Amino acid sequence: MLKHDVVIVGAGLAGLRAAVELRKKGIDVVIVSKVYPTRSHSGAAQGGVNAAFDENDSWESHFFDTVKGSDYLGDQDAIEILTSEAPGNILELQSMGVVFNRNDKGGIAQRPFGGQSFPRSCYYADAVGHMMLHGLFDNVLKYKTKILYEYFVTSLLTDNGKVSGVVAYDIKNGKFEGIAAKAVLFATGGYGQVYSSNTNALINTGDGMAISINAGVPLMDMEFVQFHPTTLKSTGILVTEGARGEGAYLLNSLGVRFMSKYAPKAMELAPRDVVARAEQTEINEGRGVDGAILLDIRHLGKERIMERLPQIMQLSIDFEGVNPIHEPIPIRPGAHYSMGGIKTDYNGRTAIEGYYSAGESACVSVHGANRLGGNSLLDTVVFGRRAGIDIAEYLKSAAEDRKFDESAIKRDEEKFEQLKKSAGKERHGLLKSELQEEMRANVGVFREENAMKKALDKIGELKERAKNIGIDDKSKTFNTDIVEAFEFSNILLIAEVITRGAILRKESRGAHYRTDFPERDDSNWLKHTLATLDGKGNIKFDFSEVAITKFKPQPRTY
Amino acid sequence: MITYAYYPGCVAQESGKELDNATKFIAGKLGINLIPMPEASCCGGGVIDGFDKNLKLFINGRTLALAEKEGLDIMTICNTCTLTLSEVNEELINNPESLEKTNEYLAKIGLRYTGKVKVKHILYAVRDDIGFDKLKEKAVKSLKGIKIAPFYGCHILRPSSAVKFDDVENPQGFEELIKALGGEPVSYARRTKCCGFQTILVNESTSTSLAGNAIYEAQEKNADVMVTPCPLCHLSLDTYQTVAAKNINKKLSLPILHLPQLIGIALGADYAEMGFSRHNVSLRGLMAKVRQNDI
Amino acid sequence: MEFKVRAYRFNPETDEKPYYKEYTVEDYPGMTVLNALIKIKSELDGTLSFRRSCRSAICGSCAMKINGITKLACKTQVSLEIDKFGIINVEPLANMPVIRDLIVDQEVFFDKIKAIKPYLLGQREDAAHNIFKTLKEGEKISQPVYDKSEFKNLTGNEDTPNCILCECCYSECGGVVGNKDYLGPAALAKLYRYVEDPRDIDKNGSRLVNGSMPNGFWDCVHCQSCEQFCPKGISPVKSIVKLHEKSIKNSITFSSGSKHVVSIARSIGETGRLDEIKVAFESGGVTGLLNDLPVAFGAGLKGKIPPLRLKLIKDMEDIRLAYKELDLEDKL
Repeated sequence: MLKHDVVIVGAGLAGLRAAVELRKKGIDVVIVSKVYPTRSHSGAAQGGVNAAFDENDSWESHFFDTVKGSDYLGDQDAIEILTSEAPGNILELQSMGVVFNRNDKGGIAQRPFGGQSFPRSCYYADAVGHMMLHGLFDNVLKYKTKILYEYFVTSLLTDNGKVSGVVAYDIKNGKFEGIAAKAVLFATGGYGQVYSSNTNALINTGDGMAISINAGVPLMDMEFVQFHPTTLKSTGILVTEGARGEGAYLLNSLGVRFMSKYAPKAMELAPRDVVARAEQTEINEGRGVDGAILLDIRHLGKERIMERLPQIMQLSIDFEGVNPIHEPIPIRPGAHYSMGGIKTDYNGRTAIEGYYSAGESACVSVHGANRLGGNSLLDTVVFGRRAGIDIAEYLKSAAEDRKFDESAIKRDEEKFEQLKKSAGKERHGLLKSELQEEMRANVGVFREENAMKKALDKIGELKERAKNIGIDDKSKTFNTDIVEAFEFSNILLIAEVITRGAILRKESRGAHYRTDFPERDDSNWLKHTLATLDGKGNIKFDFSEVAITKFKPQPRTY
Repeated sequence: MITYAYYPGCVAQESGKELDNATKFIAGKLGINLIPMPEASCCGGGVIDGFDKNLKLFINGRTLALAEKEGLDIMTICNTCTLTLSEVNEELINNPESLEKTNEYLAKIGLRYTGKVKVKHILYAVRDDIGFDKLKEKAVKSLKGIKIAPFYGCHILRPSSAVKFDDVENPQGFEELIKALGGEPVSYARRTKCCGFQTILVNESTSTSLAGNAIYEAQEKNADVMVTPCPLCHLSLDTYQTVAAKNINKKLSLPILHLPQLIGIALGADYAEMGFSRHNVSLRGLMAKVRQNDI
Repeated sequence: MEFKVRAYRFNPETDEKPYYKEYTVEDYPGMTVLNALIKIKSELDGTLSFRRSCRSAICGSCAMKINGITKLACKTQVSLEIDKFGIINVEPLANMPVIRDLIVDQEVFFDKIKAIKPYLLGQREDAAHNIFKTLKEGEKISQPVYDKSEFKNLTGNEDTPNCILCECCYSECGGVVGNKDYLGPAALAKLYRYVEDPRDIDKNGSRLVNGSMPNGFWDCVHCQSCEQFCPKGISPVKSIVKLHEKSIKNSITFSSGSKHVVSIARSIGETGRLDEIKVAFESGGVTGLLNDLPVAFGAGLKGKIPPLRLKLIKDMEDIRLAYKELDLEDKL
């Protein structure tokens, strides 16, 4: 048994940002992560992080762009915080060692991003997530933070209506560890692995969300899944929106910049939901190139490409066999980001006292039905920081009035041992592929009731077959076979929440597009969906109101 | 007849004199005309940029310009000289700013460099300009039955952005040469690893453990001899072999040849002509084995 | 096309020593070594253990030896390896203990990263900019101003901040092979990154002083492997050489490594040549020479000791001019 004041689960940007905030105050924190912190998926973010710096820009404009981008489902009180704290957060990161490219005036260079009315994405070439992740990690080392890496969290524990700690599986030696705490922060990232053809790391299996709903914490707006318009055709690897920010064209098989038809003003820099649908429409109507669209950056010239988009160039060469200096890059939409997640307020608090979430695993909601590019990194640092501050405050008054239920350690251990003993013939790796393909085909960019019901049937079938999963690996040392089996059970649960929510929401809003209900329906659906489990493990839904403070919903055109 | 500006480097003119002699011997036999460069300076021993980056450019830019003035390419017999001259050549060819700065200095000593010189190590000069088939024809002694461990060392292979003679992941030039001479190349993992020379005076234990373990591996693979294209590697592998043995606590006794000496043996050179008495580890056993192999 | 993967296997619970296991896999266009390993794990053998995360060469999890050379499995094409080697031979990283199969214990590597203090030291004077601020309506924020040139060695796409800590360099590093306490290329590249950062207020040069200690940047063997095998195109060895240059320029020359370099520079400045005897004497001081006495004695008997006074090269004044032009005479 371990005991700390705070447990932070997940060591991406949100988790590390919160950790730095707490460690600066000398608070006893342990970071628990299933991978070494620098392996976290935040590092794969490429294009930028938004903040209004320019004298001709304003945070209020960023505020409005984000509300509009969210298709008015974002909570405006939270978005106001996001955008008014953005510049302060970026400067604070810079003072902590993060490097940003410079503009000619000596300030931070900024590039245009989709759905933003001003070039306000700060960047470090096309690897800003990498830069921020390593910069924050360096600060976590500076403040001598305890890190349990390669520990897989299996349960969130509560007592007396308050959080009491977590149970974690030490992947290195197969031992279960209880970690008691007065506050727990889940910064566990998204669930991109629910879909085939996604931009996400293999570790993004929605673990934190699955554990939360199992612990009785509602998941909000889970039907809103962002499909990124530009992911490499063969692998789904991300090609930053920064490419379009720098001036890239999207071309169909006729060589036409088809965005003129879908977003005549914003063109390629329309928000992601709009561009992804436009691409999919072109492909579906026969104007794709081998099931893909072409992203053309040749006219930017070698020098600019090498300076601003070096990673994109290398990824295209290594993973698609295309040198973008000479040829357009074949791309298609791919699952990218979860707008939904663990319901929190703008201080990261959830329904359980002492239990917090921040970053992609959380739903504040600042992204509503569609996140704007460059706002996710911002989300991680703004709300990671705020959660850190709120936890520090909470600890001042939090009493030792909860017990850590040690039997939970035994219970989780038993679950693993049971699975190891199973003589089942199903392979979780193959079941995962079937699930991912089903979700891509039937709960993807375009959605329709019958197709989604088919997906639900498939999920039901997979749930049955999952009872028959067998595990090859019986050992205790670095048993990734068993970890993957549990990750699969997490994405299976998340897939069901997404699908049921998508069937329920009979309108089209942001990234959720129903061909059978193609219009936004503010009178019935300007509200958040909240998913919880009933006593028998069935998913049920409630609703909550959207905070509308400044901007009344208007038609959303670009 | 192929003509090169000959850049033996410092060690081959000082403690490694036998390498210079062997090179001249085989050049004569193979019809390689070596034009001496009495004005050429030391390349900086692979560390001079740690003193001053521009000094590296200036003194080696000067060497390149001296060869260019004669209209010749440069032939080297030392890995580190090869890399240093190649790196500077690449920099001067690809970076106009560096070229301009270097030429400002060169102008003051009546020289100018335009990037026309190629730098070639003797191993690859023999491969490309003579050809291994031709080499085979000229051989008067076969190395049949001799197990030869090629030790490439670092600077003839890495970084491949500057030295581009062979496949850095799986080089074969050395092995092909050994086979052409009738020898049997020994395959061992450390053939492309570091000999440790650069820290021999700074951290002798690091250095000799690298050399020692390479020798030990080759020995375990039953090598009769190890051959190196670099006099610095030779110092680590031969001169320091006794120290290395003590450091890694293994019995080591593997003769180490300079590459031109190996070719020299095949071309009929005798013990004295190759300066074998200057080696630390005796070559008598090896030579006795070779003696039985008249073609 | 079918191809073979030969994987290093070792499970400390069941295996006395490591062994290799072969798998046959069906290729597809664009398949990477990581794809092949994932296919083996999910379809053939769930016990094969390896780390992986992003599969796009940014997280650094899947570094391993592929056909003898350390690479990221996710960006290594199967077809290229098969063309060259006929097989995919996978082994764990070198220079770190194996935990299981392709997984090594990285603790030492990360300890060395921590050892170089990978964060800004001190505070800039205009620290007011660092104080967090929430903007009120109509309010703007002012930024600290830095010239582009201040970050010029940090913002290039092959500059050290792009390091992903994948350990490829560490696995290939000759210096670490020879001395397990050597900090290694990644940590030293990180040290260089902070030395170059204009926001790092290291008033007493502690970074260069600490880096000059044993196991620091003078222990680099210049084998060039770190540059050659970095999957991100970074050259730690060039960063290390820049640390050498910075130390000498700042007269931090207490280490035998710096004495060695200065001595070579002096020898060239005096004779145009590398004077082996003098350099040996000056690099190690008397102790060093005593250490090398057995070697010198042996070499002497063989006639290998070079002449004590070297002949100057022809046109030696050219070289002196180079030193003069670069203002280096007082550094000798």
